[in-house]
Amino acid sequence: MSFGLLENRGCPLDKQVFTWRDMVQQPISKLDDDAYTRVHIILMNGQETEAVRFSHACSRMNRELQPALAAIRRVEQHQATLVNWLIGADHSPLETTIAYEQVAIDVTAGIALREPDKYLAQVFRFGLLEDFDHLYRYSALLDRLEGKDANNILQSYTDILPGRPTVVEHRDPADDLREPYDRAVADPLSKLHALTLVAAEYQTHDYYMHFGPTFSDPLARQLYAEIASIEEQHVTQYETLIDPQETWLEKWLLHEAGEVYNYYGCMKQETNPRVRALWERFLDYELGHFHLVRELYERQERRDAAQVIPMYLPDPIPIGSQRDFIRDVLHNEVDLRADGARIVAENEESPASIRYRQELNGSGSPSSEVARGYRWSPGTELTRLVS
Amino acid sequence: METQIRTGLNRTGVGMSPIAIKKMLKDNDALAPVDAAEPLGVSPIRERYIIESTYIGTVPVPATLKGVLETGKAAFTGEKAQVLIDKMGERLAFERGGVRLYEALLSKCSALPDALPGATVEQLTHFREEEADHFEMLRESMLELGADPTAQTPSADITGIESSGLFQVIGDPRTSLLQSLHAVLTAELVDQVAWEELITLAEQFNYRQFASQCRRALEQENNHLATIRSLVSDLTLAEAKQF
Repeated sequence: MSFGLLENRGCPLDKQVFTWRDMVQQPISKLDDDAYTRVHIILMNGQETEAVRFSHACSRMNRELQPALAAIRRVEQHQATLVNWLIGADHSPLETTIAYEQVAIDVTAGIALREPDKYLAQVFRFGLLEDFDHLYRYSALLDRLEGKDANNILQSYTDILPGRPTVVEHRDPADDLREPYDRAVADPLSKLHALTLVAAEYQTHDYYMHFGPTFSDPLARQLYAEIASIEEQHVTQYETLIDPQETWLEKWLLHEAGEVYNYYGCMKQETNPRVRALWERFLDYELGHFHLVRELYERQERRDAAQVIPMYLPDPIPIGSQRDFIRDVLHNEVDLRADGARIVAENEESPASIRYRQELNGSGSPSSEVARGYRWSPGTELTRLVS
Repeated sequence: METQIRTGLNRTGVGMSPIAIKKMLKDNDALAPVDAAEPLGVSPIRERYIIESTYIGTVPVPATLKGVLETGKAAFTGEKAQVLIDKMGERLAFERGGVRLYEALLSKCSALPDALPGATVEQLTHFREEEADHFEMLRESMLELGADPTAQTPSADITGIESSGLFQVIGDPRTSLLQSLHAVLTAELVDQVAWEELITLAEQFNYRQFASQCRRALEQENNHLATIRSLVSDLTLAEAKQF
């Protein structure tokens, strides 16, 4: 059901207040809460940290917008805290990593399924199979390093299988640059999709950069280094889908619309009532932000905001298991590579990427080593090995 | 890799900064006045969270309990079964982690072939296999009860947090074999107590066959503990003698 932006003014900015007690709430249960509650949390933390990041970049280039940016950004900061702190400390960094990859896989799959632009959909599927392989490698590490089963996090919603091998995902920087959509004619859903995934991948990249060095095991450290590098590639890839001709205010408007869109989607699909209430509260906050920015945009650019984003938002991204779709894509597209902006067959891959990869993998491949002979089994591979 | 404790440029103590520490303490009383020292543990913020928080999670109780118990089946209701299943899940997770702990230790032994006698390395390899056997025994026992051995019970979750430091120590290529063995010793000490507790619990439920299997596992764990303890002691003294 479409969500009407104009019908909902949301909560005024001066009423968007927190206390520390409010910001630091009881975390979800790693054991009892549905995996997609955790997915929603990680997704929205990513959207909020992107909001803060974008707001800073915009602030550096737009003196006159600094007061409005700072006021809204402060709330986004505290929203990000409240959301992210819903993940309990009994999630080890590697278990959280598994959850991050589940977000990447299932949200990207949900997006790719509904993306109206064929080229964008192809790019989303291309990234999907790489995150899919990351999950396999990290699952092997969790099993072999800590003796834990990644499926305790995934709850059987997402497969643990090799995707496009991480070892061949390393590309020359030029081969991660994609073609942007045209802001004048692109479907608004495409804009929301691209923005959602830029945020998600950036968040994932930062998580691996922060936590990679906290592992003592050198193979774990190398694996995080390797996959963080791919996540940087993914940020570049999705970021270049966005029309660089969009103005700062236009981008800001799209960011706020994206947050409304995704909070609405989480609220509609959330199974934990306490967390659903939080999505509803923050949906109201984002509506408040959206209308403030819409007014700024229409005043400064003298254009109707409805030209940028329709006042009735598309149906939310379906956030759930996409097993059949993913297996289909895996079967048909795992051997695809890149050549400049194009996604191509393996034998057409850019020589620059092949050279780059040979150099980077010159001292061995952590993603290959960590998963050597690994096949996921319920209860870890020890179940298969001892019986 | 360094194999011995030696003296060097450890900068963490105030002894390394005799001049700076005087400056650091100068006028401290006036600059950081406090009425009375309050232990951090007494915190209204912490207490409020403790009172208001709910439990970490629940145990999936089997829908039907299969008939492996010899007597006292009536006492083995869903309400009480969760305690045993939680602890079985904990032990299973610990033994599974223990396999990986020993593998990491053996990896270090392999990289340092002269550090331990061959017979000792063989013993450690055998301990790893016994941990795997314990895991399998627990897995089969849970299945016999109709429980799900792949589920992470609350105590399994917590034991994972408790053990995380042990993995970090052994996994660090900079830690010596002795430091790694000390981490394994910590694990084996916990293991011994936990098996004893599980035996007591199993006997309370009259789950005799399982209690018997746990006693066999405990014998092996006692051997692990004695061996590792002895190794740690011998290596520590040997290192001290070299100085």
